[in-house]
Amino acid sequence: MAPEVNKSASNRRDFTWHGAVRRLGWPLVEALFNIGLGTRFALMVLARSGLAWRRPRLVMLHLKHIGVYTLVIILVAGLFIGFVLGLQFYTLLERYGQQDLLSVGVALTLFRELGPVAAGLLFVGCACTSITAAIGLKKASEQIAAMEVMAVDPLARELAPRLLAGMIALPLLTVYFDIVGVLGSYLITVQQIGLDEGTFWAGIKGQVGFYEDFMQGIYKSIFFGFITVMIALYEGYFCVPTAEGVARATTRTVIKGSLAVLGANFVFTAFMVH
Amino acid sequence: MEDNYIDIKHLSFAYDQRRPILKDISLTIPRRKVVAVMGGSGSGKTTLLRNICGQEKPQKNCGAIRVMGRDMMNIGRNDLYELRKKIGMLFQFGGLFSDMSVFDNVAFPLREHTQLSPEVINDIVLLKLQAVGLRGSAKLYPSELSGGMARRVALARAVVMDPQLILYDEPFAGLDPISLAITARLIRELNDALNATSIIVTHDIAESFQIVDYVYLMWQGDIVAQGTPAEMENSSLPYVRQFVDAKTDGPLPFHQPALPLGEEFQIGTALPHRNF
Ligand SMILES: Nc1ncnc2c1ncn2[C@@H]1O[C@H](COP(=O)(O)OP(=O)(O)O)[C@@H](O)[C@H]1O
Ligand SMILES: [Mg+2]
Repeated sequence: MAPEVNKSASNRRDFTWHGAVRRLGWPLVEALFNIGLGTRFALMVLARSGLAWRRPRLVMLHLKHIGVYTLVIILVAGLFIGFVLGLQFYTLLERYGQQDLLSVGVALTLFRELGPVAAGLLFVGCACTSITAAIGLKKASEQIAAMEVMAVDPLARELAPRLLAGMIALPLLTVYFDIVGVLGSYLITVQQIGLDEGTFWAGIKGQVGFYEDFMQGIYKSIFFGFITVMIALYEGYFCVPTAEGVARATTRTVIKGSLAVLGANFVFTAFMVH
Repeated sequence: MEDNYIDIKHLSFAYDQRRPILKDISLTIPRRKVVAVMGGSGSGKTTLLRNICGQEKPQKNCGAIRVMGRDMMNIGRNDLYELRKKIGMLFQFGGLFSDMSVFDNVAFPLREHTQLSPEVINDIVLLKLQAVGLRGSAKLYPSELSGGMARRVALARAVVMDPQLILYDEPFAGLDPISLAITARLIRELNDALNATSIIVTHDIAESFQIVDYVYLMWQGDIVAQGTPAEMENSSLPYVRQFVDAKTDGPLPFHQPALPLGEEFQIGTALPHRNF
């Protein structure tokens, strides 16, 4: 047994041609394997989400955990982003005397892109990390195994409700982010700089569509909620069940979750804008 | 055959193919018996329990496991879950749900698997907690319990569904002598009251020999001795004598398998190199 270990360690210094092929090929095989495993896992959790509707109390509980605790940072971040958007649009539009369009620019930027993306990124940092850590720690302390041995399916009891809660929470948080962002730019440009209040609101009313603009962002955010929570659940469920393993899984959740939000957003926008 | 509640034949198991953990183990446990599995740490006792309740599945052709008449090597997911409703398991590290109170932990299997009213669940849970002496701690959370208390809560949870097969992984670890004696007696009484079958993994010879019907002694993946407690006490087998009398030298090695010391410390190699 022990000599085997030595042999595999020396593979790292294997400079023959088949050693090189193995070094190149292995990450590819591993990546394919993980994609397959992840897809299968996602389907398994999804298949059980129907059942999770029969546990509305659990969904509500997780909604409270991941929604309410992210709400504060969403509100504060939305406000500040609204401030700077207002200022930047003002300096830009003032050059051309087009300040009337300011509220439209701010609202479209927020509703279509910035709202879902910024809320998604904050959601990854706040909610998804805690989901990974919670599931990972449950695994490390035998809670997942205990559940299985008690004939309770952890995917249905622990994972599916979190997925549903995430897919409800992120769109709602995005709505808050959008609203607070518009309010922030209103405060800066109308209250501080002195733009006309009527023009500000009339612009949004006249030029920004509920379905074409506002809901586009919300649809995006439903998908972001799905993909980020799924990544968080996957990383937690398959983490190495130790303190370091959970730590690394949490980091991976942030990396993969953030990239997923940004990447998916680009794909969405490309399709929606044509 | 019918009465052999657990029937394991020539079971070999490895988490990782290079290192066998269980080596050709055979054992039978008749119904209504309390059986102790003893042996040094790392000898594969927990692994054996994990195989019995289907958490781990051996590879094909690595033996046969029958539990309550079911073939565990070819059991489907739904059948396994049905079977597990009749099995109670006390985990070595408790496995209590950290986000639930003691009461909710013990109530969990009842709430998941039965349609009992909250009043009935309340009564059952408090009775079980009373039996392990922790009715007063029902509102505490697992993080507020000592190791021994957590273990007793886990015990209450393991038996709350009145299982027919109960697996205890080191139920006595971390208990004071009084709790230990009470818990040991409780395990026996529960087994007889429920007409159940119990397996206890333990190191505690004095207490467990008084309550069990049969003892298996494991060492590094093998069953090296078996018999009733009386037979074990009087056995002249060197394995048994060493374990029962806690002698430091004898045929049972204390060390896990390893490279020779000289090789490990690279004595005699001209240029020591290591993979850090
Ligand atoms: N999940 C696992 N993966 C790999 N090896 C394991 C795992 N669990 C236990 N082992 C190994 O199996 C051996 C037996 O472990 P275990 O059954 O827990 O022993 P015991 O309960 O008798 O102390 C140990 O050497 C341990 O290193
Ligand atoms: Mg063990």
